[in-house]
Amino acid sequence: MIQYILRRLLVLPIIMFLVTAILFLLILQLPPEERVEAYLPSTRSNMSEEDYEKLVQLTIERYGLDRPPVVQYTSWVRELLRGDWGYSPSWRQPVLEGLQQRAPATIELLLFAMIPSFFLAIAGGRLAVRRQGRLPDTLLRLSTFVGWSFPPFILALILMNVFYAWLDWFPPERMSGWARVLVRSEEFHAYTGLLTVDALLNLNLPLFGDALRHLVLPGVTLAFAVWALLTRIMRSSLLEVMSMEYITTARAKGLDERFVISRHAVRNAVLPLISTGGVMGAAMITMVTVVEMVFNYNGIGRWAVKSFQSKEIPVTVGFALFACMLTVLSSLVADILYALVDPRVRLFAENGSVSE
Amino acid sequence: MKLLAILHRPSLLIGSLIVLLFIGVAVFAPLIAPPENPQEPQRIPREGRGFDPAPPSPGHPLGQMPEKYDVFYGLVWGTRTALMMGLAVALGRALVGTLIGTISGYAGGWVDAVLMRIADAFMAFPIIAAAVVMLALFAFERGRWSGMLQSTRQEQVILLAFVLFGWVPYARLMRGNILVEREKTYMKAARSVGVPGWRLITRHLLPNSTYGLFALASSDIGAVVVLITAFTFIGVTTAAEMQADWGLMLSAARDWIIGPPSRAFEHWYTYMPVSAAIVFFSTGWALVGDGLRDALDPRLRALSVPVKRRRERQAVVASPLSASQPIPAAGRTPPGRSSIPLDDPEAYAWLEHLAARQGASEALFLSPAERREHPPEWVHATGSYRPHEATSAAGPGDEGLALAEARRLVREGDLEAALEIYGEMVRSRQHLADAVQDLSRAPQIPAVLQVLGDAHMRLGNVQKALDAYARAENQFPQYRR
Repeated sequence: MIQYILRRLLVLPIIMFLVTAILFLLILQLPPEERVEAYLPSTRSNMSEEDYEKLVQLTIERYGLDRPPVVQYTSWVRELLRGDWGYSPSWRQPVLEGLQQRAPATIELLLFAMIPSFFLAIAGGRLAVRRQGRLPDTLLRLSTFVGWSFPPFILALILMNVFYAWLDWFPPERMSGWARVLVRSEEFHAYTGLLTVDALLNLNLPLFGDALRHLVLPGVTLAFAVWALLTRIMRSSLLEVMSMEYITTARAKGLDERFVISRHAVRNAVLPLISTGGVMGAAMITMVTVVEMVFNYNGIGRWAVKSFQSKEIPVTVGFALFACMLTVLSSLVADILYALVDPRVRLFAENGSVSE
Repeated sequence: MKLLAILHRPSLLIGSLIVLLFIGVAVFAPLIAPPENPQEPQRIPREGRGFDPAPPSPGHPLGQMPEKYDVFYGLVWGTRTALMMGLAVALGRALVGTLIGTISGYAGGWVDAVLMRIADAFMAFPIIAAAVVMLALFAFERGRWSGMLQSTRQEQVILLAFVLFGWVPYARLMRGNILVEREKTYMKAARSVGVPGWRLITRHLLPNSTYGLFALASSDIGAVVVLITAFTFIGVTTAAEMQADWGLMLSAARDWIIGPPSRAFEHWYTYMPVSAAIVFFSTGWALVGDGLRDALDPRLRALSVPVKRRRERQAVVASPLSASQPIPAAGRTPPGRSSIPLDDPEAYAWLEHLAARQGASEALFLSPAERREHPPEWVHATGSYRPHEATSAAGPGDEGLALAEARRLVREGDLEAALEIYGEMVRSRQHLADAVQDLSRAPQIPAVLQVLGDAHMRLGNVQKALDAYARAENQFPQYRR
């Protein structure tokens, strides 16, 4: 098992090399005179045109922006590895610090949406199979289709209108004003960055309630789409498993149907669900960004779009890099989970005969 | 192409109606909503003054947006914009994906490995990150500190970003198809008569490798339009002035969407019509994509045999039996339960296909040489199973030629060929008891169970026969329906 994980880890640097190479090829399309802006002060003060030109040339030389691409690429990667992802003038903080500060909010939202939808997808698949072709199954298929093809940002608008504007149950943004004051105060200790968890660790129930209230709408918007996709996959995979011979055997032994499904069928049917979860990473980040923008939820997606609008290329590129890392990591985690659930993968991997 | 059969699927029918409606609106936009200035149809006409939106009125069937833009006009001409963007992206992705997938699948080896790793890297980019990076790099006005997005350039850049970071699923699909097709007999035949490589690819390989391409493209069109409008709505792309574009219309309405509690939906006309259009557009294309996948996928097509055909098959089953032997009182085929005739070659192929899909019978799909080398597991597993000894009571001389041959084939692991002989024996009522004995020990895949059932039936063991048929059908409940 450890051998298998190590083998998977070896692929990481290759993918990250290609990802950075693609990003760098895009950046290279800009002439050095424009790339240099990332290294220049954001206000021009009282510099004359000639002085400014001189400054630009000096900066280009200093950072080697006109050297061969390979040299530039290696120095860029070296900077990234050293933790120097650039500086964001309008937020007055280094890019990496900005990412660290906002990533927990996004991750909290993603977890809040993904974990329940994973289990609800399994429950939905079981319901569909037990009542196949009957009303619950039909309703479920209909709702998964709607959830899958309904644009999340429009769902977000509708939810916000109903539950915020009309009923005023769930407000947008990440926390209320008083909560923001509390979180920044001395007496609050941020252990994880996940607001709900931190609130519980600080034994502050009102804050916990506030965090939950703000998570509900964006969480439900995301979860509906995710749940719909996962349920569709779970249903078809469970149906396929149910026609297998070992299910017939289990039934022939006289096992209760519920037991047959939960012990024999679901464990095998859940495999496609895990692999789908792994490849969904990229789409999830796109969705979470849109949802964060609509609900004004202060996560990395909203930060990236806001920075992009003020032409902060270091933040934009940093966000892209971070997002790619999240995607690659999520598929790695899915692979490992898959191997944990399906012993065949790790057994074959140890013989060295597994291919992709 | 069985167009009519395709339309039998309700989801595909509904989906194509919705899609056709949108295509119609896009094509006939000049007739539905005549532009004020035919040179600039993208400009939405305004009437009246002020910033506030106005509810529907006789001149404006869907009301007016903030700054008095006509909603209906924007909706109609926005359809054209949406459709063109979706089609352009899907076409671009399909072209790039087909090119790379074909090279990868046809060349194989290290070319394939490298291309697929690059594809993995492109897949790692969330489309929002790709769009934002490409826009930040290429769509801002050139020159220092002039942080303005150029609207004309933006559209090209965002479409390019969608193509550049979205071709991977197409490439993977094409690569998979090519890998399958490459090994087929017609390709070997074409290669053996010296058809040059490029001609082999363009004339033979590509036309046969398009399974799933259209399904993927149609579900993509809807998804791409949803994403582009969402990006415009959240402010990733902007425009200097109002244009007939769903995303721009929604973002212009942004301040009017969330109203005060007592009047939450007061300005519904500023965003509801456009939202509904986006929802229907996306649903329509998703339905078409889903339907095409089901209708054109040869594997799924085999599973959903139209009702009429199934009845014909039942008739075929009943005839050979009833002609020679009176059907027992229980009835050959109980109502509501169909059976698969083994003398119908199509049905037989279909059974084998199902067996392979379930992984129940590897033996059926090995070449004769491979079969001899690696006899299937069940021959080893039932070590005591030696057909020629099993019936030794009858004496070796009693074994007919056919039975001996069938058993030889079983020993060699050629279940497929053996099963054909058993089928023939059963149909001609020879060695029925031996056939039952042998077949009961073979792996109980549907094809075996069918012959076993037929043999039982001819022996008069109706209950056992029905049991065998039921077990066969239980292995693929799709057929039972």
